[in-house]
Amino acid sequence: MTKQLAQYGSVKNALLTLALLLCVVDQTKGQSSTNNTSSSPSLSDGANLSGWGVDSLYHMVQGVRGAASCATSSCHGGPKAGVSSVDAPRGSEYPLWLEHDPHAQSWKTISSEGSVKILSRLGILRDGKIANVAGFQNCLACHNTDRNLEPEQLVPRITEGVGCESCHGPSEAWHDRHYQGYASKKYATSNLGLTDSGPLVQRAKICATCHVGGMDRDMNHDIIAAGHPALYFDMAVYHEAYPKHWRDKDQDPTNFRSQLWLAGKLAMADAELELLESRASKSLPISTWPELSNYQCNSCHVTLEGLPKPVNLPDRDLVITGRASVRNWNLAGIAVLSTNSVFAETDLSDSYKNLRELLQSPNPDSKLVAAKTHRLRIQLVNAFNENGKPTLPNWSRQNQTALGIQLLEESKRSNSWETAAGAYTAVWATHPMRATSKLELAMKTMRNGLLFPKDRMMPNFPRLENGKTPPTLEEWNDSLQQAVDALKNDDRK
Amino acid sequence: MSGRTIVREIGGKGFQPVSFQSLAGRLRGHELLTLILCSMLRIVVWLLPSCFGLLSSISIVAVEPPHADPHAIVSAGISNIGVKECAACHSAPSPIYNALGVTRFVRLVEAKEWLERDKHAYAYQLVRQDLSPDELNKEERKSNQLSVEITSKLKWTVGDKNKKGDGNFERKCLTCHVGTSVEESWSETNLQFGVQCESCHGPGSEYTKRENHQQVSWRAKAPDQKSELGMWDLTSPSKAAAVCLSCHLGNIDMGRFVSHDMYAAGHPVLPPFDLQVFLNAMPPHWRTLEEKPPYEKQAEYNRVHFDIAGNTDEIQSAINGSYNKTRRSMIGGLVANDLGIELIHQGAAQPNTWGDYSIYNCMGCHQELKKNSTQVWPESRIPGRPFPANWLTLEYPTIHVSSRDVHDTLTSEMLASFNLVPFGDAQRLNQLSDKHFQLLSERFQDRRKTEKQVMSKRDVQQWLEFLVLSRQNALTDYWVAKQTGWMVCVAVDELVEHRAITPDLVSPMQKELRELLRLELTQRQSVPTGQRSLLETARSFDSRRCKELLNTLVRRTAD
Repeated sequence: MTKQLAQYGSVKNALLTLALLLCVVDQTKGQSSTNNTSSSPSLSDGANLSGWGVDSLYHMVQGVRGAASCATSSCHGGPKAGVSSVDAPRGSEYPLWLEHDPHAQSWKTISSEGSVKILSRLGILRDGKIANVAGFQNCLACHNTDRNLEPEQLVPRITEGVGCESCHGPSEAWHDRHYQGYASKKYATSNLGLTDSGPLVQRAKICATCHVGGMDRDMNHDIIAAGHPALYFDMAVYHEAYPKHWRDKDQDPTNFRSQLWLAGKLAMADAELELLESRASKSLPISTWPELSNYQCNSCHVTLEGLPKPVNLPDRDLVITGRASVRNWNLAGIAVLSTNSVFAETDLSDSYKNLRELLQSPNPDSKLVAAKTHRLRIQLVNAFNENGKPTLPNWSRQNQTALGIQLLEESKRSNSWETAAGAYTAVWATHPMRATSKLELAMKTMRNGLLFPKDRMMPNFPRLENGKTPPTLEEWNDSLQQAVDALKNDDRK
Repeated sequence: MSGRTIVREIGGKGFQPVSFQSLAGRLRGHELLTLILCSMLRIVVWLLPSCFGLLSSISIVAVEPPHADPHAIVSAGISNIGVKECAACHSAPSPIYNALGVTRFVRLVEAKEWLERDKHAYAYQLVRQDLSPDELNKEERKSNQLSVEITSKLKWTVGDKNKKGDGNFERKCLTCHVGTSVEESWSETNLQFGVQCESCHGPGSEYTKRENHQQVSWRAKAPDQKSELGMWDLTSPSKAAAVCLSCHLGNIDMGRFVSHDMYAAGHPVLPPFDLQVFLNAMPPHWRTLEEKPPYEKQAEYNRVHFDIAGNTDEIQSAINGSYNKTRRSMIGGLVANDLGIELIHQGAAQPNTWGDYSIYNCMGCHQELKKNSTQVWPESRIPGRPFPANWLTLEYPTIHVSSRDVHDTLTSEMLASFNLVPFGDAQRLNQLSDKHFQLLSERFQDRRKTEKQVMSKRDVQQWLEFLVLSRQNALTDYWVAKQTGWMVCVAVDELVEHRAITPDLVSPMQKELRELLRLELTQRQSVPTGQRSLLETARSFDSRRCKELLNTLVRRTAD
């Protein structure tokens, strides 16, 4: 009897907790909708974490006017007179986006047959209707500008894709003022939620809100298992491929890519920590804990009868027997940036190692993870902060070469795809190559070794061409060594 | 020390049979003769229960308190005496026992059989950390090296008397490889014998001393009374299964649990369980019920084990006509099912350590991220969340359970809670498995009823049909297919044995099934060699063909 009562009690408690949680979720939604520029309530102590200036992109439920409202021919729907000058604003941002930018097509992606399958497997879509609104909003947070959709309004409004306001912020508060002189734009940027996409760290952080995740959007293991590709963002690579509707006229072209790479590493680490914290504090209705996408895919997804190809192993340094290794792709920057005195005076590697060990322990305590993550995030932001703004340090060509060598040596040691691919993109971004150079040749072999075989479930990733064989492990290791030699040689010059 | 040296040593110390001369010396000639004639059968009766291994009966008191584990295999307050004590009688029968016919009931070669031929005796050799390679043959050496690798990867050490090591080797390895309990420390001499007499038969300090199991009074005791004195009733299939499964499935509370860390460090995979198949693979040191000649108390004895009315002959013929192997296989499966839930219960009771990957389906995670993967994700599950090993959650025809619906609902709720959060919600699972546990005593009564039924040919046919039909969808999982294959083969073999069907009808399919699913348990093969190809089979076996074969077998065995 007592036992039954106790059980009844715990059920009651659970229901109460659930009710309370729902209230909290509602309230946070309400808050953010009324005050878009407020930073997340959970990140209020310590450093000013809203310095990234992208908070208006989260919880975007009000104030969205849609891309069409930017498309007046005299504004961004141009071209307008004077575009031939490299210094003039293009004025044709909207048509450029609409015709060339894959973001404009993301509504097609989410309406595709494949996506419908994913949504059905997750139980978000049932019998052609949205059965889980929170789950669907989580998808729309990245696949559409506006996520505040009632199921019956679904079809007509999801055709925008990732529009202007997805990156620049909901425009209602500043739409009518931002073109009235420079001061209003500055005012809108600092007060009304217009994001500043000029500084590269902030630009990278805008991309990372979706390409990594953030406090209100979580592309988790459930979604990956249902068929969504895992996210492997790299700022320098993605920026290169992006059909731009702007001009980076103030940037130093010889150093631009490496600055983008660096900004990306910082933004990716911050976004990953932000996501991890919201996962661990269970502030998202669709999040789960423990969350398997915090771990490297190939630390579990290997067949049992034989080890996979060495480059498919998780990072050797992270492996603890029998435990999933923490995913390093977005966080690798912390170790790279903080152990190198060029970048930061604070050594974050201990805090990072500490968090990693906690995550790799059995059944990691979510509250502890949330607290440690929060602390690390503050440390990271503080280390790269000047006057309340995230700031990139200056680094010389020598620094870049040294970093390239460091990363290549690491990937030689760890045999892991993530580390090797990270090293590849770093060297690619920091060392503009000539077709005949030894580095270029070595990098070609490396790249072939990193490509996925055709039958791997990694959509949207470069594949090995039909009939081509990947380099053998020996050839691949040689290519790493050749790249190191080429970099060292380059350094001597 | 190798096993063969141990045999010599036991032999050397001398087999000391109960001295018939000393007993007889106190009696006059005609009394002696009378005694011999009258007690011939009685001696047999004395020695019977201690030694044969297998069939029938009940070990646990009829009414269980709601929270005592009816499958528990502990005997509180009774200690182990060591294998040498047992070997004094159970190594080689003296000619007098042969002459008296005692050995028709008890072989009295148990310790020798076990030591020379039973893999359990070598379980410690395979893991002990201080052997030089010369002391082992080629296969044993490979396995032993593997165990050294495992402990070094896990950084576990032997905690010797000087407390130098952390003792994880004893706490986590020897609990199964010797059968020790976590609390009790075994003497060095006893440790070296691996899984030994008392690991399975129960601790001997009581039944060898205070209540001697060689005495007449012992014979009169009911199985549950013997169990109270430490001797577990392995003639009951459900009890025997519980004993085997404490290691072959695991028991967290007893410290017998192959964790995922251990698997990842190289421990071979634990296959699914079938009592009869595992017994077939053991060199028998027991006499089966069918083998034993009748004696004066046979009827009463049999009545304890079977629900049969009638005189001795009728009972004996009913028992001999019963499909006891199939019955054992079925009960073993039911108990594995119980204990699988019990394992979840034990794990979920400790929320801080909940979620050891080893209770989940290996293939749920260990699949390459390839298109057209062979792994079929069950419709009802949220993608990306691990689920428990399939073969533990299968259905069984629990005919006698009045709470069948409650049981089924609980099981499906438990499975659903693995959907709720990744790895399952420990709190919810604890509540559910707690309810399950309360049902367990009732289910145990059911096991007892079931195991006391004589199984007819019709029963076997129905069992086969149920087995294969209810698992049609689950047969894509190799471990489910393997366990099903074992159970089907046991039943089909027994139908052939009872001449209910002709072998030609089934043997080609059985042969193919055995090869397809690798059903044979290999003898004394080194562990690392067998593992890789086994796991390859698990990933790539032809499940469609397997289903065809099983369905055909069921059709052919039906009338």
